Amino acid sequence: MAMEILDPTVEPRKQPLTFVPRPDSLTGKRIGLVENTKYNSDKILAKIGEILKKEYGAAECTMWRKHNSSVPAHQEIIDEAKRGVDVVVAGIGD
Amino acid sequence: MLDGIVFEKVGIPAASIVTDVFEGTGRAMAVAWGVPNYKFLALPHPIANLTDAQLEQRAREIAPEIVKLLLQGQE
Amino acid sequence: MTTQIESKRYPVEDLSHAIEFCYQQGWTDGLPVVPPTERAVQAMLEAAGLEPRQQVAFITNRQVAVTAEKIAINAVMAGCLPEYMPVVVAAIEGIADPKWGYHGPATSTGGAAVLMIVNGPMAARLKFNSGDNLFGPGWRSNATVGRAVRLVMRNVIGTLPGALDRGTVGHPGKYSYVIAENEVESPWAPLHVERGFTPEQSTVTVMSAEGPHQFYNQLSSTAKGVLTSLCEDMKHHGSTNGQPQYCVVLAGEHMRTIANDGWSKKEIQQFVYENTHNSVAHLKRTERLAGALTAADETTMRPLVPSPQDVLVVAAGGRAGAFSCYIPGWAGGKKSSQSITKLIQDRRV
Repeated sequence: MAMEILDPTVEPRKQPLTFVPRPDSLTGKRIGLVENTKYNSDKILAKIGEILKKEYGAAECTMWRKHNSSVPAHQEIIDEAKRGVDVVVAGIGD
Repeated sequence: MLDGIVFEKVGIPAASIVTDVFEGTGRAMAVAWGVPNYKFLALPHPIANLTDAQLEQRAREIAPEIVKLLLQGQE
Repeated sequence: MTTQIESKRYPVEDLSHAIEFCYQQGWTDGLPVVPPTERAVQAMLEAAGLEPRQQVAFITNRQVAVTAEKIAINAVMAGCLPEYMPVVVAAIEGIADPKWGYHGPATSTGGAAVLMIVNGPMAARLKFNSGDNLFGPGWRSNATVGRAVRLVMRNVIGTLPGALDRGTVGHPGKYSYVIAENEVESPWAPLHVERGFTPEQSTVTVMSAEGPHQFYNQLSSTAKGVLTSLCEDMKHHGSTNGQPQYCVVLAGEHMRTIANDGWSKKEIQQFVYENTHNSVAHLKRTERLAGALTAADETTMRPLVPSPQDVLVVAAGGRAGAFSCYIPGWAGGKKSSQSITKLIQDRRV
């Protein structure tokens, strides 16, 4: 007996995202590091930050820790980043 | 992974890093957020049990890719 | 119902083709589903007094709007009766709550499932099991309501194994993980009343949770005796890093022993909190906390749970048997995911 069944799934929303213009180099740039609270995330990001300063000319690094790994960076981090950094590196562990 | 997208939306160029076993998960998040081709980076997994020297090594290996992603972006 | 159902439709030849089709599309949890016809989905929506387009929840981390229509389709697939729909809706509201923090528990390698505890008159009316074989099969409401929530997580919110569900080992609660509290025989205030609801209201409490850890005590005739065995088992459990909430489910024999000793849920919570501490030294020696051992670590005690109130006590399980259980919350901890209690609402006019 022919019948019709309904689709239980949804399609992801299309969300246009205009990517931010990039700097030409990291010289003199302020780096924001956002670590996700997982073990060694902060350590490895700090080392990355040091390399960006020593070898790519970045001026300084600021590290932020998220509330937890389940949520994106919280509003205070975003506000401080908008005021104080030029680029962000975010990550990383499980 | 989502943090990179969040920072782009607020106007700050960003590079997201995951560990490699989570690349599929990161890709699924990008699809969910409507940016299926979003570029992000992967380090070998795990990092939780690495020594300081090993973490330094991993940082060295990925730094050039981070710089490339920060400067060249998503285009 | 005033608005139309908008989901895409697929023609199928007959029932067995429909069942196979659902498998091929990746819409199932591995078990066959009931093919969702429009008529069945409408009955589900009418029983809950919801319009198809009504947004029940928005999962921010996934950018997904969960509509009544999609919940109804998945509830039909799970095998729910229409009268179960309000319970499913309340559970979805619970897991969409920012304090439940969808991303962590759903995606984490920690492999937590959604423990659902039903309280109030609807539990008995809809025949939710609160007794023998509590976490096992046999009751349509327990089995299908939990399954409906999981199918929504899978089909609507995209929580697919290997992609956005990375539970390393997971557990069978990810099929369905629903119990009711045995309010008839329990001497204590039910969970929902402790959380501020009236006894006449019906609720579902969702908690991101590992599997049940059974513990045994047949010798004790005192509350302290029974709970000492519980605490001895519980404190060795590994998630000391995250400090999640825990649920302690006390079955018939243990429930009566503790109650006969005059202990309330508050006293149980306080005892469990105090007797599940570990020294930091022990945690470091057993590689559960990082860092070099210091002398001070021997006497620095770390609680298993953030506070006594983070031990949820539920009276449920069979009358016979010297077994109860504790259920650890998701390893990410209370700071990332808290148990949430939602009212089961009758929205029919």
